[in-house]
Amino acid sequence: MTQVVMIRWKWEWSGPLVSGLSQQVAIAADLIEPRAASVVNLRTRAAPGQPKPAFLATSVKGVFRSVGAWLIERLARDRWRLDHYLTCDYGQSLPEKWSRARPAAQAALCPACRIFGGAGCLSTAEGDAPRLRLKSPLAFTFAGGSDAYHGEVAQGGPYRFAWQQVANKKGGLAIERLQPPPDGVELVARLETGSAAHQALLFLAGDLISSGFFRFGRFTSRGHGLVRLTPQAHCLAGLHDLLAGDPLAWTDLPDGGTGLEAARLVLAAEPLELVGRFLEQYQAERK
Amino acid sequence: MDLKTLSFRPGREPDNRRNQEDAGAALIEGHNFELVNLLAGLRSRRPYQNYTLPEDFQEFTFSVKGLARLELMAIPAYKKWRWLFGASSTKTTLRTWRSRVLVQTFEDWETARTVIMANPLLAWPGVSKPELPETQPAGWFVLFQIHDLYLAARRQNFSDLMAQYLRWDSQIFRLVHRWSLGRLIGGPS
Repeated sequence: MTQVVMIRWKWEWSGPLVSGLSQQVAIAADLIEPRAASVVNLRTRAAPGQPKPAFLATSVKGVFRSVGAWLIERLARDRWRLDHYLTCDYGQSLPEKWSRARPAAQAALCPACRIFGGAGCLSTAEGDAPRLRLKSPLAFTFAGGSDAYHGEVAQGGPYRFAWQQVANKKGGLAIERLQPPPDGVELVARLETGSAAHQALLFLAGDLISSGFFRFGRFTSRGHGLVRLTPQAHCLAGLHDLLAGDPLAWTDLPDGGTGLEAARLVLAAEPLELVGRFLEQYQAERK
Repeated sequence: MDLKTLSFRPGREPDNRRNQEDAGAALIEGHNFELVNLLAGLRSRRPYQNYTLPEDFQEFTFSVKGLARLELMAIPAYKKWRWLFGASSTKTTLRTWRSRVLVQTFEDWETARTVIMANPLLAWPGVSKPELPETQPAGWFVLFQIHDLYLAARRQNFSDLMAQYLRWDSQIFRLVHRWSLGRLIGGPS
């Protein structure tokens, strides 16, 4: 029977957060004047009503994917001293000498694609991508099942770039920042595989995000997008439970713990070992 | 290297394309999946005659990456590697890539210590806790978080180059401590 796993994190702002909206779109939407030195946050409809500043759950998934792919690559190098890439996240610039595993079937997609979904981007022939595309068994929402966090914005800046400071020029960039709500935000991951290795990867990815090396939104190299994720609760449900609409049986996780500790508790195993075994299995299937 | 003024223009760069290609090669072939932290304090609030730190801490946070980039650009040994702070496609750049250096800033030493020691990765097996000094002079601190790369052209890791810059050659920053994630253990042997 299909098992669905849900993980809930407390999402805390550790720095300013701004979600992308290109200057061209902002101008077209009359949010800024042409050539204005200002950045506005993305807006989406918080139905029923007017567009509201938002941060999309799909952006969250993209960061988790980058982190997951990084962890897979790192573990593969630490364990087997591989000098080539396992995942296709680095595929666009992938040197030919490293592209040993171009998938010909969906079952051969890279480990990151198996969790986060894939388009067969390393496929051998043009036109393979649609055939290889795999829908992700993973989805994120903010609490309440919303596909976006809608909030208020505050104006930051204008901040001058370093070259403007050195050149003693006036100006600078004004940036709209999303404001954290007083009660915080919850992030929920829903994983349809029930795989222990996939759960381990998600818990560990939360810790890597909290380290500050992986960030959300824009201006990430300028102190923006820092988020702290603290695991709050875990839930294992059958498809029948979900369809019945009954309240889910969440298990609370120790307050203030890390993803590593939560994974150990929930999975009763060493999470890095679980991910390592998942990669070993992948390697064995490739041979 | 003791410069009196900081330039915001790169000057004549006959090898600009080649430099960008070297940086691009490091991004593709040199990615070693190391995460390295370089914590720096400030040497002076007015490190150059034409540059004083912003009064506003938020503006400092926003601009500090560019500031390091400008200083690297002024020192010949580092000049070409400024491209690892990110590039956008313009007529002078080959293509776009994201910065391999992310910054976090702290208004004082206590905050820096608290945030750094609360990093959940420090609970991971095989990861050592950084041995931070108990005290530091008052002032702002910058944590450079580096997605490390091997620079084949220098036979050196990017983080080593950055540590060298912060320790010896920067007039703005002084290196306080360096630590990395270490080897991830817990996988099957």
